[in-house]
Amino acid sequence: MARFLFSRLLATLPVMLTVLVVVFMLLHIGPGDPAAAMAGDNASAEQIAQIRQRLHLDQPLVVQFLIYLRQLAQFDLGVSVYSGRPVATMILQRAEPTLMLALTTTLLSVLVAVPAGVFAARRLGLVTDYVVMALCVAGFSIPVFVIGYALMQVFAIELGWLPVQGYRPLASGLWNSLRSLTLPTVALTLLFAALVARITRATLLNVLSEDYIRTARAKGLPERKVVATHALKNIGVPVVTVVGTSFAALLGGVVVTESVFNLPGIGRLTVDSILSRDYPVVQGVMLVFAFVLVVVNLLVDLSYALFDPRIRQDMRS
Amino acid sequence: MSAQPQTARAGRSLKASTVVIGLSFAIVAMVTACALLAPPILGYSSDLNMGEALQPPGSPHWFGTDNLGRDIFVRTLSGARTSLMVGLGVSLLTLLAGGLIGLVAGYVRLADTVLMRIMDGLMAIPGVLLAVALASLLGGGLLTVMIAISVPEIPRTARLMRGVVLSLREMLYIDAAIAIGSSTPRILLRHILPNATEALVVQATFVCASAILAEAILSFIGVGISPDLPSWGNVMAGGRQFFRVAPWIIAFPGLFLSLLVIAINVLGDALRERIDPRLSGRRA
Repeated sequence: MARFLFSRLLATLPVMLTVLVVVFMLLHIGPGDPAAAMAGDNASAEQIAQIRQRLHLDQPLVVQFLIYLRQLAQFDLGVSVYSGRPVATMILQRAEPTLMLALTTTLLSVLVAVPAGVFAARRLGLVTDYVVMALCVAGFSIPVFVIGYALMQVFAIELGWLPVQGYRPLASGLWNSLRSLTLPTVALTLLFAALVARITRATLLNVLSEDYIRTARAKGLPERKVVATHALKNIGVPVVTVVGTSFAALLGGVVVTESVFNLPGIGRLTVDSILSRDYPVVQGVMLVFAFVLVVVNLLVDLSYALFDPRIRQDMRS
Repeated sequence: MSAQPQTARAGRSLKASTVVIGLSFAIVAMVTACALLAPPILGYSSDLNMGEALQPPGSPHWFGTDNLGRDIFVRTLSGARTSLMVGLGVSLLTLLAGGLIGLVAGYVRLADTVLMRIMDGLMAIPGVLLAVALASLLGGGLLTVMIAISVPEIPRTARLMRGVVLSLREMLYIDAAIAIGSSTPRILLRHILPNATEALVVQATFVCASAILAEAILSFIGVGISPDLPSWGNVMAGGRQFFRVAPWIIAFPGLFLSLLVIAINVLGDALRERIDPRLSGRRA
């Protein structure tokens, strides 16, 4: 197990190195002087020079990259050009709404999508199957902000059941916090659940055509038991994989959803930083999100052992 | 389960699929017609007309007006051109770059390790975030937005192409081409690429749909195409502040965009099922 974990961690190194290079190079691919771009149109030559010096942009590219790596090794994500505050602190302070939104969306998506996918697969070719699949196509075809505004119009403005925008922190009580997250969660769930439900349906259809399912049916087991006992166990790996791989789409969705619902999370911080050209913050957020994705994919790989004894055996040996 | 209900179910399923595909095709054709005909006939309604600001849908403004008095009906129909151009442009750029990277990575082992690690690294950054950052850095022109959206899409296409090439390179006709002394570029271009085209075409439909959505997101965040050239994304972005008093600014372009993306995804699925017999077999 430790060897498997070590080999997987080793495999993530080149990925993280590429991420570091891409994120570092972001500052340098735009036209013109990045310091001037960050300083804005009305900045004086001194202010531009100050930013250039602070971000080491006056050094050769290789030196800049080495300084960047050294800072990261000390968990230093740099300093915001505008507020002068450490980027890591800014991200940590904004983490709660984002984590809560990601958590509630993942939970709700799995709770809705897996039964919906199973339901559609068991009713293959019937109206219910088409309805579920149509909802799935709509889920990942309608922009999350259109869904968000539609939900806001109906449930917050017309009916007044839920708050229009904003976030109530956990400190104000779990119920209040969840209430403020209900609409953003539902908007984002439609996207995430659509991807999971499609894979669940497709995988279950594959599994249901396997020989061991035919054997179970031939033994006279009721269909419900065939699905629950024999089929569902075998859809775990692909479903967990799609939850992991779709996490990138979820994080992307978080950026937009937080803007629509005015949630003071990392996504909102990203958009604000992009609009104000505060690139050290943008770089910090990209790095943190990429790190989260790598960790999620690692956890997904490890979770395979829970679903498939053959993988468990392979990991042990 | 008896054979008769299964056959009837398969028949109904086929009929429903045909209707849905026909409807999707009609939507794509209608939007393409809007993209071609609306700008020369209706223009872009870019001129300000403050006297007509925030008019609700009705006559003479069927879809209402925005805060600057611009006609949403005209901007929605004409915006189809920009959104469709972004979709097609990104598909082309992604297929060219991703297809080439996948082709080389799938056939040349040494290049595979290097290229695919770079692709893995790019895929580790959320696509929307990367596109938004690139669009902000490169500026908000049509071409730069296309490039910004293409970069996160390229790794997915490259990975798909590599998978296809890896299976094709084991074919007997490739061994035969090597045996008669064909050069690597010739094998790639004459034997492998034509056989990988179907998979690439299917991928292109999904990239196109995803790019239209991404353009809308970029515009919504404020780093997309300038509002002088209407796209569904920037028309909707213009309605953000006025959502409570004028929801039609977001609703109509949002409806058009969603219908087009749904239609393209349905056509992509249909194409994939046609190419992959295992998928079409499941329908029955």
